[in-house]
Amino acid sequence: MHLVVCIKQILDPEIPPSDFRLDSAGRGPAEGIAPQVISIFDENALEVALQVREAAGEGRITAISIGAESAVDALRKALSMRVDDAYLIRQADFPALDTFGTARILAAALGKLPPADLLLCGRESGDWYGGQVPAFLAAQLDWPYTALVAAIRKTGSEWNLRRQSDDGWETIACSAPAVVSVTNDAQNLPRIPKVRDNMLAFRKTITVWTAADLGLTSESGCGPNTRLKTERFYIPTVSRQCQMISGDSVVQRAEELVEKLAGLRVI
Amino acid sequence: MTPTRQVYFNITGVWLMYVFFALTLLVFGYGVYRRWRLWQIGRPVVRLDRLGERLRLLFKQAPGHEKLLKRYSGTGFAHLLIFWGFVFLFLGTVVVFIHEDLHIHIMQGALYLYFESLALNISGALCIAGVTVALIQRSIRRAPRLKPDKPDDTIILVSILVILVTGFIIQGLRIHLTHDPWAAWSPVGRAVGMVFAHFLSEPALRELHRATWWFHLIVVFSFIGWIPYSKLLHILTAPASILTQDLGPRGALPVVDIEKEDAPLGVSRLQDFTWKDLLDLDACTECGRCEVNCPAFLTDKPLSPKWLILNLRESLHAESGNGRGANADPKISPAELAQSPLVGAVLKEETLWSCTSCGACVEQCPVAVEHVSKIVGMRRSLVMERAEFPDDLQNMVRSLEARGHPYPGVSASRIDWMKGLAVIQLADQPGAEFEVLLWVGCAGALNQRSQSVTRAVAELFTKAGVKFAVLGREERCTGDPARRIGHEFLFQTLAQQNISTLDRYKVRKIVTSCPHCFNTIKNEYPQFGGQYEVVHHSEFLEELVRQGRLKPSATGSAKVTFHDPCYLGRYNQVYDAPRAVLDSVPGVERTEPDWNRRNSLCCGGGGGFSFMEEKQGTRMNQNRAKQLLDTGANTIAVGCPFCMIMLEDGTKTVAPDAQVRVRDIAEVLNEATE
Ligand code: SF4
Ligand code: SF4
Repeated sequence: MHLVVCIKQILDPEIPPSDFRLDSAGRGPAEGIAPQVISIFDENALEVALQVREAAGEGRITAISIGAESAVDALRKALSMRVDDAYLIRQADFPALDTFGTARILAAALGKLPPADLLLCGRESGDWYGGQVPAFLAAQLDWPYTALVAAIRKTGSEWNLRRQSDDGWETIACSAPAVVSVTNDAQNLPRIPKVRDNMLAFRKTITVWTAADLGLTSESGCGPNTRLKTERFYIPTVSRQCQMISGDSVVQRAEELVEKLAGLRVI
Repeated sequence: MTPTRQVYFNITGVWLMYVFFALTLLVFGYGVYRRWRLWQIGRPVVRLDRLGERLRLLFKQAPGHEKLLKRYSGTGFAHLLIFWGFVFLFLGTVVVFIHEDLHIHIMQGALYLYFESLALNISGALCIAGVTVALIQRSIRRAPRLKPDKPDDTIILVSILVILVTGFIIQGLRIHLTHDPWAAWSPVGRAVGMVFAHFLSEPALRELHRATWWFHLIVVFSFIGWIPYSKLLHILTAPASILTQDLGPRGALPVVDIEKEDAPLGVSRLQDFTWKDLLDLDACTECGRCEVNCPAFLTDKPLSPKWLILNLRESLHAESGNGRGANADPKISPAELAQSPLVGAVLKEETLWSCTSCGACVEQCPVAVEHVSKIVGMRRSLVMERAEFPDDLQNMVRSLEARGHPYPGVSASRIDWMKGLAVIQLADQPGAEFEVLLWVGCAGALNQRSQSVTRAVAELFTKAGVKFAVLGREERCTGDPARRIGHEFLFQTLAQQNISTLDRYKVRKIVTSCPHCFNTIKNEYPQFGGQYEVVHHSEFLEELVRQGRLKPSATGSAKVTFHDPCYLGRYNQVYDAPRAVLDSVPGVERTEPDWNRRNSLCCGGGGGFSFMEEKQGTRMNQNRAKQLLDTGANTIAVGCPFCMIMLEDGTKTVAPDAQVRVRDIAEVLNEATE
């Protein structure tokens, strides 16, 4: 059994608002002050993969990430959770990366790994919340795709994917290979690594792949051909306005209040 | 005529005594050896260095029963009488031995009259009084702290009584039968002799004397032989434990060598404890003093420090289920107990997660048992080896790992509190000159209530003209919460980061308003090469007031009571400074809660509890809040951000209508200072 989990390192979503800065181009957040973490749903995906392996008693798990050098920390964390192998794809080789490009690069990376049974992603990234990569990946690979899975079980050659639906649970049976996006659930809270595994993780090697290693060019990330563009990225200004309600009687004042609130569409 | 007496008056076949005595020594020696062997399974730890200091401590603590007299002074005094009775009688026996067996005739003259007769008579009588009080305490008053109250406990007291009474009978009969000219020097013995002489004929008295002599001898020898098999063992282990106590700062937990490949991280089995930890188990006298000051025990958590020790002792001896306590799982047989991992079998996990690490147990224990390091040792195994610990604490650990502070979900940054104040941040002004570094702490920076305390401190510094700086964004959690929950690895990572930042800015003197930060930087950072002069803001402010740099003036009147934080008081013996700060404010009338200083009761915020929901029993903060409200004060003064949060919440719940404010000493002082 071979499970591949795609993880992304993102700026800590809990960054205090007063620490949040834009990058010089005004196209995204500036890095530096706030810590970087594994995107939360990717951690759930890692946990699900680990649980599948534990239940099966065998299997390998590979974690891959496209990122800056700092993303080594995210992969190291995955290793300390007891993932077997970790690969970092150098994001610097792919300027202006978009979700199509990301899927294309990951698909190419997958081709260099031993055949995978399942490819797991978080349901969306914790910074942009696009939620597109897993679907694009499935399209690239021409594999079936199931979204928002909370737990996975293997029965014989079949994979049972458990999803929460509006009125209960839904279990989908599928055969490998397949792409699965994982959502958070009480049962897939990411584990805290044991300290010994933490230290062992520091002795493992993390392979770095360049665009050339994957047989791709800098255009593969989309570059100038991107169909997705950030027009403007800004911090909204919050302002407070105070209006006094006049009205002579209580009834009048109440009516006026209702009118105003209705006008603001809050009631 | 030289005053003395005949040693074996009326006794024949004395050789038999030597045979009995040899047997007694064998039984005694074997018993001690059996225990000794058990302590040997522990890990090594250096506890016999600085012998002079250790002996001084032993002689300071043991003879005066310092700790026994501080709480339950009645029973403590009874024990003091018994203790000194034993010492005198033992010395008296040594004198006889030297006189009779070594043929060095010292038992005569003044020594005979003043010591061997008078002093022994008085101490014997006082010892009887002590035993009687103890018996009453045990059989009539039945204090719950003395549970399990085994038959052994009473048998021990009764045998001491028998030994002493028969001793006096033997002496009295001898005095009467020999018409002892020095009888006046043994008043108790003489009186007993006179009573018997009133009722019996001389030959009967002779018979009685001989019979009592042998009976006394047999009881004494049995008693000696029994020592290593019963609670009496503490006659040996208590001084041994006091002698080998930790001489380092109380607030420093032992370091774990994380890098060591095969060494276990923390304590999962008995042999992972140090030999001193195991000796502690046999030193415990079951007095229950640790239990009565334990915030967890007082609020019905599944933890009693006494039972923790007794349960561990039981598993060390793997004896029958004799007196098994509330912490143990009754379904596990004694044989299994010896084999099983401690947590789960001997102790429940919840027991370990109920401790606030307040140190009251260690402070109270008269025989220097170290509870907290044992609890943290077992937590270390749970957290680092098994990665099994409460969810709330897991979230705290994640936050510490990712952001260097223990508050998941806070939106404040480390510098938000200083808005509008001119504060030097070293990252922006690395070359700035400063007198002291203000260590803000995670609570001081990120908790809204504590931010105003930090502001008060900064304002006071400005008023006093103190040149101070902060690390700002570069400050990390000191690691105290990580270390106290057993995550030594995370603690060491944070400690090393902070030490390298502090050293980079060549920081020498640190002031902090958080006793946890204070304790960790002061007592634990030196373990990793971080050497700084660290003072709590109470000490620093007291100094500023004394130097006249701060001049508090009247602001009306307030009735104030001070709550001693565990990590300031018990762990670092800073009791007077915060009181002096309060007293310097005109109009402050200070009252003390009944439990204060070393007996202060934990607010319930330590050991990870500030980051964990209190799920069992009643609330620790409410318990303490009640005690503080009972003083009638309208201001509860604190010196710790965690106490602040706990007690604010506690007072609001216990007395929602009371006009009581919880304030940091810095806030009180700042308000009164221009
Ligand atoms: S440290 Fe405090 S909470 Fe923990 S066992 Fe001792 S007295 Fe109880
Ligand atoms: S541990 Fe110390 S304080 Fe607690 S019961 Fe034993 S001897 Fe008494």
